[in-house]
Amino acid sequence: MKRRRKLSKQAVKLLQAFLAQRVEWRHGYDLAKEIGLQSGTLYPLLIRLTEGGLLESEWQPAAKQGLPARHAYRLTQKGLAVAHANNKNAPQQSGAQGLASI
Amino acid sequence: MMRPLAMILCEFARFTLPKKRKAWGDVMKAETKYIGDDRAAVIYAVGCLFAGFKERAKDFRTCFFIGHWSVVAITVALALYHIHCAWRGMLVMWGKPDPLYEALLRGSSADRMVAAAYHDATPIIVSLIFGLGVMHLVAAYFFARLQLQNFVYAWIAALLVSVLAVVIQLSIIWNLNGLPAEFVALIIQLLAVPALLLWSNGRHRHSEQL
Repeated sequence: MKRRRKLSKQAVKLLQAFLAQRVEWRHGYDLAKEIGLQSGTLYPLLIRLTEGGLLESEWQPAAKQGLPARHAYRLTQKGLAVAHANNKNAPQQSGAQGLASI
Repeated sequence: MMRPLAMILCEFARFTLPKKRKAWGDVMKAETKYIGDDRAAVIYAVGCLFAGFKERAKDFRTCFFIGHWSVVAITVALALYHIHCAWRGMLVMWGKPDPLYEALLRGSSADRMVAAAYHDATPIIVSLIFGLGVMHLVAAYFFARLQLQNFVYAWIAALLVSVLAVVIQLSIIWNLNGLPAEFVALIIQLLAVPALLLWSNGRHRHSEQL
Protein backbone atom coordinates (compact mmCIF):
# COMPACT_ATOMS: atom_id res chain seq x y z
CA MET A 1 0.00 0.00 0.00
CA LYS A 2 1.37 3.38 -0.99
CA ARG A 3 1.97 5.98 1.66
CA ARG A 4 0.04 9.21 1.28
CA ARG A 5 1.78 12.37 2.38
CA LYS A 6 0.05 15.66 2.91
CA LEU A 7 1.17 18.35 0.52
CA SER A 8 3.17 21.24 1.91
CA LYS A 9 1.72 24.76 1.89
CA GLN A 10 4.12 25.76 -0.85
CA ALA A 11 3.16 22.76 -2.99
CA VAL A 12 -0.53 23.63 -2.61
CA LYS A 13 0.23 27.25 -3.51
CA LEU A 14 2.13 26.11 -6.58
CA LEU A 15 -0.68 23.79 -7.67
CA GLN A 16 -3.18 26.62 -7.23
CA ALA A 17 -1.05 28.79 -9.51
CA PHE A 18 -1.11 26.03 -12.12
CA LEU A 19 -4.83 25.54 -11.58
CA ALA A 20 -5.51 29.22 -12.24
CA GLN A 21 -4.12 28.81 -15.78
CA ARG A 22 -4.51 25.11 -16.21
CA VAL A 23 -3.98 24.79 -19.95
CA GLU A 24 -1.06 27.16 -20.29
CA TRP A 25 2.56 26.17 -20.07
CA ARG A 26 4.23 27.98 -17.18
CA HIS A 27 7.88 28.88 -16.58
CA GLY A 28 9.92 28.66 -13.40
CA TYR A 29 10.77 32.34 -12.93
CA ASP A 30 7.20 33.50 -13.66
CA LEU A 31 5.84 31.01 -11.14
CA ALA A 32 8.39 32.11 -8.53
CA LYS A 33 7.37 35.75 -8.99
CA GLU A 34 3.65 34.99 -9.03
CA ILE A 35 3.50 32.97 -5.85
CA GLY A 36 6.42 34.60 -4.07
CA LEU A 37 8.53 31.45 -3.77
CA GLN A 38 12.31 31.50 -3.86
CA SER A 39 13.87 29.35 -6.55
CA GLY A 40 15.46 27.31 -3.75
CA THR A 41 11.97 26.18 -2.73
CA LEU A 42 10.41 26.18 -6.18
CA TYR A 43 12.76 23.76 -7.93
CA PRO A 44 12.63 20.95 -5.35
CA LEU A 45 8.82 21.21 -5.63
CA LEU A 46 8.86 21.22 -9.41
CA ILE A 47 11.17 18.22 -9.38
CA ARG A 48 8.90 16.27 -7.04
CA LEU A 49 5.65 17.24 -8.73
CA THR A 50 7.07 16.33 -12.13
CA GLU A 51 8.48 13.02 -10.91
CA GLY A 52 5.21 12.32 -9.10
CA GLY A 53 3.33 12.72 -12.40
CA LEU A 54 1.40 15.81 -11.31
CA LEU A 55 3.17 18.08 -13.76
CA GLU A 56 4.31 17.51 -17.29
CA SER A 57 7.26 19.42 -18.64
CA GLU A 58 8.79 20.17 -21.99
CA TRP A 59 11.58 22.19 -23.51
CA GLN A 60 10.15 25.00 -25.58
CA PRO A 61 12.10 26.68 -28.36
CA ALA A 62 13.79 29.97 -27.55
CA ALA A 63 11.50 32.99 -27.56
CA LYS A 64 14.29 35.30 -28.80
CA GLN A 65 17.46 34.76 -30.71
CA GLY A 66 20.46 34.26 -28.46
CA LEU A 67 18.42 32.73 -25.66
CA PRO A 68 18.33 29.00 -24.90
CA ALA A 69 15.31 26.69 -25.03
CA ARG A 70 13.12 27.15 -21.97
CA HIS A 71 11.62 24.52 -19.71
CA ALA A 72 7.87 24.78 -19.20
CA TYR A 73 5.36 22.98 -17.00
CA ARG A 74 1.65 22.35 -16.80
CA LEU A 75 -0.70 20.16 -14.81
CA THR A 76 -1.42 16.59 -15.85
CA GLN A 77 -4.83 15.00 -15.27
CA LYS A 78 -3.53 13.55 -12.03
CA GLY A 79 -2.14 16.94 -11.04
CA LEU A 80 -5.43 18.58 -11.86
CA ALA A 81 -7.27 16.15 -9.58
CA VAL A 82 -4.80 16.75 -6.74
CA ALA A 83 -4.94 20.53 -7.27
CA HIS A 84 -8.75 20.42 -7.15
CA ALA A 85 -8.71 18.26 -4.05
CA ASN A 86 -6.40 20.74 -2.33
CA ASN A 87 -8.18 23.84 -3.58
CA LYS A 88 -9.09 25.94 -0.54
CA ASN A 89 -11.68 27.89 -2.54
CA ALA A 90 -13.48 24.68 -3.51
CA PRO A 91 -15.85 22.90 -1.08
CA GLN A 92 -13.82 20.77 1.35
CA GLN A 93 -13.58 17.12 0.33
CA SER A 94 -13.11 14.47 2.93
CA GLY A 95 -9.52 13.26 3.12
CA ALA A 96 -7.71 15.85 1.00
CA GLN A 97 -5.66 14.08 -1.59
CA GLY A 98 -1.94 14.01 -1.16
CA LEU A 99 0.93 12.68 -3.12
CA ALA A 100 1.76 9.04 -3.02
CA SER A 101 5.17 9.42 -4.48
CA ILE A 102 6.42 12.74 -3.14
CA MET B 1 29.63 41.49 -13.72
CA MET B 2 26.39 40.28 -12.09
CA ARG B 3 25.23 38.20 -15.07
CA PRO B 4 28.37 36.00 -15.26
CA LEU B 5 28.11 35.54 -11.48
CA ALA B 6 24.53 34.28 -11.88
CA MET B 7 25.70 31.86 -14.56
CA ILE B 8 28.56 30.63 -12.39
CA LEU B 9 26.13 30.06 -9.51
CA CYS B 10 23.82 28.11 -11.83
CA GLU B 11 26.74 26.01 -13.02
CA PHE B 12 27.64 25.32 -9.41
CA ALA B 13 23.98 24.44 -8.69
CA ARG B 14 24.16 21.92 -11.53
CA PHE B 15 27.36 20.53 -10.03
CA THR B 16 25.76 20.11 -6.57
CA LEU B 17 22.68 18.30 -7.88
CA PRO B 18 22.72 14.50 -7.56
CA LYS B 19 23.54 12.60 -10.77
CA LYS B 20 19.96 11.59 -11.54
CA ARG B 21 18.84 15.23 -11.31
CA LYS B 22 21.68 16.90 -13.21
CA ALA B 23 19.28 17.77 -16.05
CA TRP B 24 17.51 20.14 -13.68
CA GLY B 25 20.71 22.17 -13.57
CA ASP B 26 20.27 22.90 -17.28
CA VAL B 27 16.67 23.90 -16.56
CA MET B 28 17.80 26.38 -13.89
CA LYS B 29 20.56 27.76 -16.10
CA ALA B 30 18.24 28.29 -19.05
CA GLU B 31 15.59 29.93 -16.84
CA THR B 32 18.12 32.31 -15.31
CA LYS B 33 19.07 33.54 -18.80
CA TYR B 34 15.46 34.66 -19.27
CA ILE B 35 15.58 37.01 -16.26
CA GLY B 36 16.00 40.56 -17.51
CA ASP B 37 17.31 42.17 -14.33
CA ASP B 38 20.87 41.14 -13.42
CA ARG B 39 20.35 41.45 -9.68
CA ALA B 40 17.20 39.33 -9.82
CA ALA B 41 19.14 36.79 -11.89
CA VAL B 42 21.80 36.51 -9.17
CA ILE B 43 19.14 36.11 -6.45
CA TYR B 44 17.41 33.47 -8.55
CA ALA B 45 20.72 31.68 -9.15
CA VAL B 46 21.50 31.70 -5.41
CA GLY B 47 18.10 30.05 -4.85
CA CYS B 48 18.97 27.47 -7.52
CA LEU B 49 22.19 26.74 -5.66
CA PHE B 50 20.20 26.17 -2.45
CA ALA B 51 17.86 23.90 -4.40
CA GLY B 52 20.93 21.95 -5.53
CA PHE B 53 22.13 21.60 -1.94
CA LYS B 54 18.67 20.51 -0.77
CA GLU B 55 18.50 17.85 -3.44
CA ARG B 56 22.00 16.71 -2.60
CA ALA B 57 21.12 16.48 1.12
CA LYS B 58 18.05 14.36 0.30
CA ASP B 59 19.99 12.10 -2.01
CA PHE B 60 20.26 8.58 -0.63
CA ARG B 61 23.69 7.92 -2.13
CA THR B 62 25.11 11.12 -0.61
CA CYS B 63 23.67 10.39 2.84
CA PHE B 64 24.92 6.81 2.72
CA PHE B 65 28.35 7.99 1.54
CA ILE B 66 28.60 10.46 4.44
CA GLY B 67 27.43 7.88 7.03
CA HIS B 68 29.67 5.15 5.64
CA TRP B 69 32.84 7.24 5.49
CA SER B 70 32.15 8.87 8.86
CA VAL B 71 32.22 5.44 10.50
CA VAL B 72 35.41 4.59 8.58
CA ALA B 73 37.05 7.90 9.59
CA ILE B 74 36.13 7.51 13.29
CA THR B 75 37.40 3.92 13.27
CA VAL B 76 40.69 4.95 11.64
CA ALA B 77 41.10 7.86 14.10
CA LEU B 78 40.59 5.53 17.08
CA ALA B 79 42.90 2.92 15.52
CA LEU B 80 45.62 5.56 15.23
CA TYR B 81 44.96 6.59 18.84
CA HIS B 82 45.51 2.98 20.00
CA ILE B 83 48.65 2.63 17.87
CA HIS B 84 49.93 5.92 19.33
CA CYS B 85 49.26 4.58 22.87
CA ALA B 86 51.10 1.38 21.99
CA TRP B 87 54.02 3.43 20.66
CA ARG B 88 54.20 5.36 23.93
CA GLY B 89 54.14 2.02 25.78
CA MET B 90 57.03 0.81 23.63
CA LEU B 91 59.02 3.94 24.52
CA VAL B 92 58.47 3.11 28.21
CA MET B 93 59.65 -0.43 27.58
CA TRP B 94 62.78 0.99 25.91
CA GLY B 95 63.62 3.10 28.96
CA LYS B 96 61.53 6.25 28.81
CA PRO B 97 60.37 7.26 32.34
CA ASP B 98 56.82 6.23 33.23
CA PRO B 99 55.29 8.66 35.79
CA LEU B 100 52.68 6.11 36.96
CA TYR B 101 55.28 3.38 37.53
CA GLU B 102 57.57 5.78 39.38
CA ALA B 103 54.70 7.01 41.55
CA LEU B 104 53.80 3.43 42.45
CA LEU B 105 57.44 2.68 43.32
CA ARG B 106 57.46 5.62 45.72
CA GLY B 107 54.30 4.38 47.45
CA SER B 108 53.58 1.74 50.08
CA SER B 109 54.66 -1.89 49.86
CA ALA B 110 51.28 -2.75 48.33
CA ASP B 111 51.87 -0.08 45.69
CA ARG B 112 55.31 -1.55 44.96
CA MET B 113 53.68 -4.96 44.38
CA VAL B 114 51.28 -3.32 41.97
CA ALA B 115 54.25 -1.60 40.31
CA ALA B 116 55.97 -4.96 39.81
CA ALA B 117 52.81 -6.49 38.26
CA TYR B 118 52.35 -3.37 36.14
CA HIS B 119 55.94 -3.58 34.92
CA ASP B 120 55.63 -7.29 34.10
CA ALA B 121 52.35 -6.81 32.24
CA THR B 122 53.55 -3.83 30.16
CA PRO B 123 54.77 -5.86 27.13
CA ILE B 124 51.54 -7.85 26.86
CA ILE B 125 49.37 -4.75 27.34
CA VAL B 126 51.38 -2.83 24.72
CA SER B 127 51.07 -5.76 22.31
CA LEU B 128 47.33 -5.98 22.88
CA ILE B 129 46.81 -2.22 22.42
CA PHE B 130 48.87 -2.33 19.22
CA GLY B 131 46.88 -5.37 18.07
CA LEU B 132 43.67 -3.51 18.82
CA GLY B 133 44.79 -0.56 16.68
CA VAL B 134 45.66 -2.91 13.83
CA MET B 135 42.31 -4.74 14.20
CA HIS B 136 40.50 -1.41 13.98
CA LEU B 137 42.43 -0.52 10.84
CA VAL B 138 41.50 -3.90 9.36
CA ALA B 139 37.84 -3.36 10.35
CA ALA B 140 37.91 0.12 8.79
CA TYR B 141 39.39 -1.32 5.59
CA PHE B 142 36.69 -3.99 5.29
CA PHE B 143 33.92 -1.54 6.15
CA ALA B 144 35.26 0.97 3.62
CA ARG B 145 34.95 -1.75 0.97
CA LEU B 146 31.58 -2.82 2.44
CA GLN B 147 32.86 -6.36 2.99
CA LEU B 148 30.53 -6.81 5.92
CA GLN B 149 31.34 -10.40 6.80
CA ASN B 150 35.05 -9.65 7.06
CA PHE B 151 34.22 -6.47 8.97
CA VAL B 152 32.26 -8.52 11.53
CA TYR B 153 35.20 -10.94 11.93
CA ALA B 154 37.57 -7.99 12.48
CA TRP B 155 35.11 -6.44 14.94
CA ILE B 156 34.88 -9.71 16.95
CA ALA B 157 38.69 -10.02 16.95
CA ALA B 158 38.98 -6.41 18.17
CA LEU B 159 36.38 -7.13 20.88
CA LEU B 160 38.34 -10.15 22.13
CA VAL B 161 41.59 -8.17 22.17
CA SER B 162 39.86 -5.30 24.01
CA VAL B 163 38.33 -7.59 26.63
CA LEU B 164 41.69 -9.27 27.24
CA ALA B 165 43.51 -5.91 27.50
CA VAL B 166 40.93 -4.47 29.90
CA VAL B 167 40.81 -7.62 32.07
CA ILE B 168 44.61 -7.64 32.42
CA GLN B 169 44.70 -3.93 33.27
CA LEU B 170 41.88 -4.28 35.81
CA SER B 171 43.59 -7.28 37.41
CA ILE B 172 46.58 -5.03 38.16
CA ILE B 173 44.88 -1.75 39.02
CA TRP B 174 41.14 -1.87 39.66
CA ASN B 175 40.26 1.57 38.38
CA LEU B 176 37.13 1.62 36.27
CA ASN B 177 36.13 5.24 35.73
CA GLY B 178 33.54 5.09 32.98
CA LEU B 179 33.93 3.25 29.70
CA PRO B 180 37.45 1.94 28.98
CA ALA B 181 38.94 3.59 25.85
CA GLU B 182 39.37 0.15 24.28
CA PHE B 183 35.60 -0.19 23.86
CA VAL B 184 34.82 3.25 22.42
CA ALA B 185 35.38 2.39 18.75
CA LEU B 186 33.63 -0.98 19.18
CA ILE B 187 30.53 0.63 20.66
CA ILE B 188 30.44 3.33 17.95
CA GLN B 189 30.63 0.60 15.29
CA LEU B 190 28.08 -1.56 17.11
CA LEU B 191 25.57 1.29 17.04
CA ALA B 192 26.43 3.08 13.80
CA VAL B 193 26.94 0.18 11.39
CA PRO B 194 23.59 -1.62 11.99
CA ALA B 195 21.80 1.75 12.06
CA LEU B 196 23.33 2.73 8.72
CA LEU B 197 22.54 -0.64 7.16
CA LEU B 198 18.95 -0.70 8.49
CA TRP B 199 18.37 2.84 7.25
CA SER B 200 19.83 1.97 3.85
CA ASN B 201 17.70 -1.18 3.64
CA GLY B 202 14.59 0.80 4.61
CA ARG B 203 15.30 3.41 1.92
CA HIS B 204 15.77 0.68 -0.69
CA ARG B 205 12.47 -0.94 0.24
CA HIS B 206 10.74 2.45 0.23
CA SER B 207 12.07 3.27 -3.23
CA GLU B 208 10.99 -0.15 -4.53
CA GLN B 209 7.45 0.46 -3.26
CA LEU B 210 7.13 3.76 -5.15
